[in-house]
Amino acid sequence: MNPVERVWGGASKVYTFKYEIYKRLVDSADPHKFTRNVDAFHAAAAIGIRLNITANTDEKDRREELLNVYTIDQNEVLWSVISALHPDASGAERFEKLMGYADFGIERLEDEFKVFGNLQAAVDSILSSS
Amino acid sequence: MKIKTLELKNFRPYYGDIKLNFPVEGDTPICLIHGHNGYGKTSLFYALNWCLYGHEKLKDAFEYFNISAREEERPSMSVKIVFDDNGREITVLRRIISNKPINSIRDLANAELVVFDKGRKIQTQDDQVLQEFVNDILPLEASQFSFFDGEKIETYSSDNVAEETQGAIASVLGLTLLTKAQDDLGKLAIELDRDRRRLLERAQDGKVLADEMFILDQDIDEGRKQKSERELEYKKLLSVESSLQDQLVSQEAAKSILSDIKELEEKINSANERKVELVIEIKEASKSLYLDILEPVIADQVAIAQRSRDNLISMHIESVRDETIQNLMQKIEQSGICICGRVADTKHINFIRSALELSDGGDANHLNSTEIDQIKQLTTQLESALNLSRGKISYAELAAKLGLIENELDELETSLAAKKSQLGGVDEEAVSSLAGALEKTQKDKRKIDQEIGSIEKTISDNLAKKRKLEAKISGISGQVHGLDLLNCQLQLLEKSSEAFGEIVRRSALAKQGEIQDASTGFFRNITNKAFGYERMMINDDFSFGVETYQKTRPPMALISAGEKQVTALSFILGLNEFTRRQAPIFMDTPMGRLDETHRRNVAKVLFDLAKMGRQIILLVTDTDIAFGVYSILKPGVGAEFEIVHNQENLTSKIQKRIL
Repeated sequence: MNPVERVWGGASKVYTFKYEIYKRLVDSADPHKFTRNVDAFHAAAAIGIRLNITANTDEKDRREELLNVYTIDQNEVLWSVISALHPDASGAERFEKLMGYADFGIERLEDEFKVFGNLQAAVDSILSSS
Repeated sequence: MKIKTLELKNFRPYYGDIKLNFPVEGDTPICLIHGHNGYGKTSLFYALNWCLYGHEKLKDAFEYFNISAREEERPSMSVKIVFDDNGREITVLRRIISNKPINSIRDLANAELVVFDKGRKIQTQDDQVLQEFVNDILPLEASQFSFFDGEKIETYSSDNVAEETQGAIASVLGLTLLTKAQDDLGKLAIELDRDRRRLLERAQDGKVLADEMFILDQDIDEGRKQKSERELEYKKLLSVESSLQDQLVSQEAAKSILSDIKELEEKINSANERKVELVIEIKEASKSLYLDILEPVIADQVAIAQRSRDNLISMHIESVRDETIQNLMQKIEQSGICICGRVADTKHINFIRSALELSDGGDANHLNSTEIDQIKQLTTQLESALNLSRGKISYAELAAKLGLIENELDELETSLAAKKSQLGGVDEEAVSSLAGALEKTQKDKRKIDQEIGSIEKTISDNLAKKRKLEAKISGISGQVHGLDLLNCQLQLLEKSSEAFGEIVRRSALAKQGEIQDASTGFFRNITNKAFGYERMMINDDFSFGVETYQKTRPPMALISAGEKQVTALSFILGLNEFTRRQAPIFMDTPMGRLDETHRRNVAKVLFDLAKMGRQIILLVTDTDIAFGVYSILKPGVGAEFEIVHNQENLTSKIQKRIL
């Protein structure tokens, strides 16, 4: 187990129930969408964290692989925030939390994106209604 | 007046006898004769014209004679038309009967015209009388407005048919006798002039004068002819010039629009360049959008972590201090001497412990240094995350800039589209080519104008010379008997001819407005540019045209073939309203070059005419009645025929279609 995997309880892949939404919100040619899946994941997780809401992560076998864990937190921001928020949780528990936050966030983001047509307005709308 | 029956025998591809009965009563006076190209539709058209007006050349009759029939022992060809003129039956029969097979034009016998009026044969040996009777039913000049070929009628709308238009109007007004009289007077004047010349030659110096007069007359005629040709050219150039000027005016306006468009395009390019740069920035910034979202959480957690860290550290310091003092107290207790030098008895020790608020020892709060390290590490990480989120360019700021640029681009592109629509596809090259064309037209016009001036001067000089010559001729007329009289007769003829011409012109002019209005009515029903054209025009010089709502009159040379057909058809139908007898409309391939909309419009007009009782006979191909035309006509159709062609012997038959 390498140090990154250890931090997240040994996980090597990031999974999601909302793979199709990522596909819709990621387009490198569209200035109003994300360029990469990882950017969308970050923003989605940030929304979940900010609102402290996670999606239901039962039925884990239905999830699809989204990212490699090495790519998700190169500056350790997410780890430090999750650790601060959940000091007593294990690495694996924190990782599950992170994926839950992201699945909640990405769905909300798409809902608002459909209304406003750009990410900033979508984020503003989500945060202002919290 | 309606055509009741049309009978053909051995005419063109129709070998043997063919008889068509047309509906003359009821409200279905439309008859459709279907036939593919080359099957013999136009032959029916020729048959009608040949029967009524004969042929100009013997060769025509030879061509009309069916090839198989020519080889028969007693070949014959005939066309018979029975008209119903409000109950009065008129039969016109033209036939050629030969006593031997016809191998060449020389074998062709003369055509015979037979006419029956109310069942009684008109008895005369003079074919001219019968022809005049037929002409009275439907004058040849007017027949072209009843019987016409859809593919050829656009020739009426060319720029140089003023004479034909005037002739056509004169013919429907029954003024052909006057025009004929004018021609006859001209011919008579030539005869008299010849006589006068002969008489003049008898007088002293008369031959010289006669020759001079002859040459002068020729020069004057030639000059007038040239003048008339130049005037026609000048008129065409005028109309081209006017159209070019109209186009150039709109093009000049377009120049400023073009400049606006250029400016807008530059602004759009610049905005697009800024957008491209911004998109690169915003794509980069989207990578850290989450930091914008997380910043308040991170800031809170930093504060919490910092507090925890500081608490732990201060607890740790306290604990270390306590531990040190406890160690010191133990040493004092063990040595029994205080650090102040006094004996350290229990009372003293308790006093010190109480002053330092120390416990009895052994319960110091021991902190795990790993815990402190962890909180320190977390705090540092959170602080660096906060710095990271605060130090970067805000996504929101870039998104706002992008929104502004996109709005700017939207506005610029809307303005550009509006400008382009004002422009109507004009470009600078077109402007310069128009200006060039206008310059050339004006130059040509000036040249022709000068030529006309020069020709007029020559004519005027020649007329002056002629007057002097006339005076000289009058001077010697006493030498020759009859010359005076001839001079007077010639002058009278010239004046009468001029007067007849003027009567025809003025009468036609008087009716011109009404015919123009009637034609405009048809035109507006047929054209699909009813909102573009105001009316059809028959100008004072009997040239022909259309006027737009902007009061411009595009030269007929510049309008499309389809539009020409529409204008010509409207003129013909308009003129048809003024024929003395309501002649049937017999159209060969009526739709010619018309598009779908015009075809349907023509069909509606024909159907309306049929509803008013006008007989309409249409020679049609499948495409003529496609695009909904057939269903428009159908309620008015009383009979349909089909031309059946035999490819082996190249003959055609006509069958009635069951409706």
